[in-house]
Amino acid sequence: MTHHLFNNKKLLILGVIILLLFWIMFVTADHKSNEGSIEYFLHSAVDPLENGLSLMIGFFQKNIKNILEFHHTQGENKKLKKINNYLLTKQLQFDALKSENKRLRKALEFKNTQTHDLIVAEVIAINPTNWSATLTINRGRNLNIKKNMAVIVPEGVIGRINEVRDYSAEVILITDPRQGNIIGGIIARTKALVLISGKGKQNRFCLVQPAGDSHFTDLKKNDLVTTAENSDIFPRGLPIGRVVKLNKRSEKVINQALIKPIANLTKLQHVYIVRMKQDPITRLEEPPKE
Amino acid sequence: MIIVKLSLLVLISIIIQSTILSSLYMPGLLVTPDLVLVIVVCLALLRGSDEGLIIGLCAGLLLDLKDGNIIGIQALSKMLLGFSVGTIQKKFFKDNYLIVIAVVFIATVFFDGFNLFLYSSFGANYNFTQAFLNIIIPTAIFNLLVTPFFYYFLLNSEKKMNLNGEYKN
Repeated sequence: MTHHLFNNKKLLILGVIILLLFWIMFVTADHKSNEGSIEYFLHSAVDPLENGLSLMIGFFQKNIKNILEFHHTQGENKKLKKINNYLLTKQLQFDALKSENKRLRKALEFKNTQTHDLIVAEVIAINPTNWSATLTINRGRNLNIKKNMAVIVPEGVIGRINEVRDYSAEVILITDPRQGNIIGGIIARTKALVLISGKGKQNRFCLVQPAGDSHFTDLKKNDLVTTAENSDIFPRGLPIGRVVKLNKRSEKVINQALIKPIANLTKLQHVYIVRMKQDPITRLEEPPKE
Repeated sequence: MIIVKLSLLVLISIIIQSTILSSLYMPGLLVTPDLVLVIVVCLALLRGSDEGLIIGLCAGLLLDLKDGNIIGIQALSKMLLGFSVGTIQKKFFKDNYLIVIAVVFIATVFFDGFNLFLYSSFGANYNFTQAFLNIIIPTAIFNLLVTPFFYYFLLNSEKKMNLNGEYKN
């Protein structure tokens, strides 16, 4: 049997490739800290195409209503059609400008209310596989973006920078289930420290576990989870999610909970990268002079 | 030439998957069709186990590099997919679309299940039942819907190339 197997070259080659792939998996699972040169080359080639396609999709999405309306008015007389088209085009342009203006105003207001150094980025691609929750954004090393910088939206935290390239970067969302994608946080009501890990982008929830203890002493549904005071990456007090389900080990012991992220992670168009966090300093009162 | 064409096809499908298809969210469903899997199955059915293995390995590696997660999982899964589908290729009539669709559906369920097992083995936080219901089955249905278009295109290209004598099987 063994002799026959080794005589079959094809199976032997297949076996060698499988072993080699397993070896690569083990190596990349343990030491995946920096992007390799092949990955870098692939992303450098693919990202501009994705950027272009993303712009095209945006263009079609914005103008599809315009095109449909144009076809609808074709049956009317020429004069009315001309006027209608003219007015409609203008109206749509105004609407588009208005909504753009509203969005930019909201972004500017958010940026102005923050003490942190924020960079606005556009989402140009979403991870092609269904197994990771990552995004590609159009800001990179050219704007001094670095690995592990926090990525937020006005509603709250969405993730952190995972890989940085010259003109783009990859954001790993808080729902990504991969090993090591854990962030620290606190239950806003009780100030209890917790660890938050992803459950997959289809699941849309994150798992919350107590940081030090084996179970929660006081946790309720709808409790808000925010970033921790002493986080190295995230600005303090930013909302992460709300508790939606309590996992009980026994009648009174809650050892895990599920939170729903505050931000809608499925419809992200623009995100903010926290280039430098500047949390307001809590000043201690000076001791009275004797 | 054929290698360049196939590489371009796989690369384009990855880009389409991460841009156009990712932006076509349907309410309640957050998966995108796995175009690479569909292409590997179609090509393996048309060209056999050797080509299926090589195309699956290369496409999977590209997907792994683009994904930025553990390298090798998609490569192993797509390679085994290409090889196994290519092995049974001679038992089927190539013009029968129903068989191709059935093979794509079964292959998606089986090999996405294999992916789930590998990702979980390397520490990913997946619930098996939910992953099957929320990822694998919807992906299989989406794949099933896009398969006829891809297979029609690939089958016609194959027939044209056979007529032009670009390669011999």
